[in-house]
Amino acid sequence: MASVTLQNLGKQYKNQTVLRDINLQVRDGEFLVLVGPSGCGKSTLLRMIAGLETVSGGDIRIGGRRVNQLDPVDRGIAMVFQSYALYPHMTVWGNMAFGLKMAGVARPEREQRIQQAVELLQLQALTQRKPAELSGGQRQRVAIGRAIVRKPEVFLFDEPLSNLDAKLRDQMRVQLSELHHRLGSTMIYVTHDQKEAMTMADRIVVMRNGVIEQVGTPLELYHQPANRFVAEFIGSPAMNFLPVRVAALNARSLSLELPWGQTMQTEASRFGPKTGMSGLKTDAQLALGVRAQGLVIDDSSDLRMQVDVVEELGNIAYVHGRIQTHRLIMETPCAPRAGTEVGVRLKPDMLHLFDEQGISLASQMERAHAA
Amino acid sequence: MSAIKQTSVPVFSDSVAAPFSGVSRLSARTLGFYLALGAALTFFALPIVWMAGIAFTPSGEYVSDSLSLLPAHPTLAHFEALWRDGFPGRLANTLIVAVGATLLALSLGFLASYALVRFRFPRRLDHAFLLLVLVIKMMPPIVVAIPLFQLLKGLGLLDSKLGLILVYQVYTLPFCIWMLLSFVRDVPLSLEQAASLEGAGLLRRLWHIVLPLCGPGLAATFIFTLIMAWNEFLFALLYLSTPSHFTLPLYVSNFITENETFWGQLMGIGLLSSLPMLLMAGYVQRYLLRGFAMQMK
Repeated sequence: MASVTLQNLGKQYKNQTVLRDINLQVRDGEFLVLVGPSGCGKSTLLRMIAGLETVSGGDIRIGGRRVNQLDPVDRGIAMVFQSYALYPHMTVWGNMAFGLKMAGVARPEREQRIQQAVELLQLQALTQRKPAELSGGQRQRVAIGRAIVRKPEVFLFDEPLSNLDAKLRDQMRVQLSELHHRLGSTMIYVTHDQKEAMTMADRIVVMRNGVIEQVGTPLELYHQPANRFVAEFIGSPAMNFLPVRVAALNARSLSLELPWGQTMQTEASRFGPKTGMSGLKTDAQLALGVRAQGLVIDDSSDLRMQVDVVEELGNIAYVHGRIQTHRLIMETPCAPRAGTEVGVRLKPDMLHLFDEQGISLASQMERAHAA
Repeated sequence: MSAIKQTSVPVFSDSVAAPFSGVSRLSARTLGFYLALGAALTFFALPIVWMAGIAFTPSGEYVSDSLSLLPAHPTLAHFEALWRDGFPGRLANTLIVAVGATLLALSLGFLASYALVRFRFPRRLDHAFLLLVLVIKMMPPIVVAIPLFQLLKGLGLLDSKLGLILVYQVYTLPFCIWMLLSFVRDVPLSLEQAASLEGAGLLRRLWHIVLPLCGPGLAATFIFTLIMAWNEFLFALLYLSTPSHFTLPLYVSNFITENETFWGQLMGIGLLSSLPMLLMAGYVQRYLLRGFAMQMK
């Protein structure tokens, strides 16, 4: 086990900057998930840690040791690839034994380690099969087994579940989390699926265009997104956004004018403006973010929403509707019928405000406090 | 319920009728297929049967007017004559030269194609190299005959098996490089990356991962290259002078003289020299098919 530290890490291909100024501390035994849309640089970052990509600038330290120039094998890592990368001409046993043979591990220990991994991953019946004779989930388990037998300090996972069907993915997610608890190893996991990130991670790193947007626990990211991108990316369904204007502002309360004319009062302290702090002024244009759970049906409300589509999930329903031209999605236990009109209220404690650059006012407050 | 009943009846009757009509269609198709197969087989097998027939026909018989493919009085006389004349030595020469040239070309070609696929070359030198290799392959052999003669003479390798093995690389190596290129390209890079993460250096990756995965490609390339080297005539004619060093294509030409063509011996050599190739091709057939399939992709 070991911690991983990235300092001012950067990656450039010719004239193109893929990663910029990455600073990150992965704690010993932590399950860290790198998440972001395609092309954000998360896989490149993982491959740099693995040693499959060169470092253009900055440092990578694993267990305190600078590994920039070390060969992949000397970094004490094991990686599970998106395509599994199982050797097709070797049996399951052979696949797991290969790395140990390369490392010169003696036969008795080799067999003991493989046997342990086989039992842990319930692959007993499959050891003499070739990868082509396995299902997707079984191949995935073999790929994980191949990583486990090497007893690495850090496990790297590159979108390992993306080739599995939805049901199997749910199962494997739980199994991977269990595995992390049993092994207690440091794991860095790349995915573009925010659900995987939310359910498995100790901490999540949200990336966009080669930079880190926010690092935090799943709940921090969910409740206190640093910017509009994180707010949109984390949480399902995606957050609703409405353009609002600051109608009035004082030390205690903030009055926002909603796009359809009404104003709503909210506690200023939630968003941090002892005004000057975030430079917030009256008449400022902001984006009001509210999750589907922050909208509730309230027939006494004079905010009327036209219901377009209702997605029933059994215990809850997602209601897609419009208030004037603004599309909203709401989560509710009792679904209205499509085509009807319902009164809607915004829960004041579940509102987020973002300035014109998309930065959360709350996070600006935190930054100002920290400063 | 009534709706279900109404639909279920025609569906059922369809499914009963289908197998019968299917069978009749199938048998007509199968018959056609076997007829076509028989015709193709006859077309390709006829020369071989004819060759085998003449190889066993006494000298006087095959010049008669009879149209029979098979001998009336079979004899081994031609084979005995060949045996006495030193056929086994020529067969051994051919085997050594052809197998040697093929193995050398295959080893070098495999390494070259791996380098061309995986390594980055400045200024597209890899493309230039591949083009150059192709140009060499497309040249008429006689163009390089004299320079190669000088080269072999300088190295003291004229009239030797090793010399011929080296000269054959002019043709076999470009063929191997080009053919193996796509097979090496088909080995996923992630497999090699996984292996390098597990501590396998370049040579171990080549040996344990890339080579086994290129097996079908290597087998296919081996057999094609072997046939090429086995049948080569011009370079053997130019660079071999001692009759005991002759390869089979060169040896066979001895049986066509100004006065007479020794059809019996000629066909005997033809039969004997094609047997090893046929056996080899039969043995690696399944690899060959996979090789073809991959080449067509």
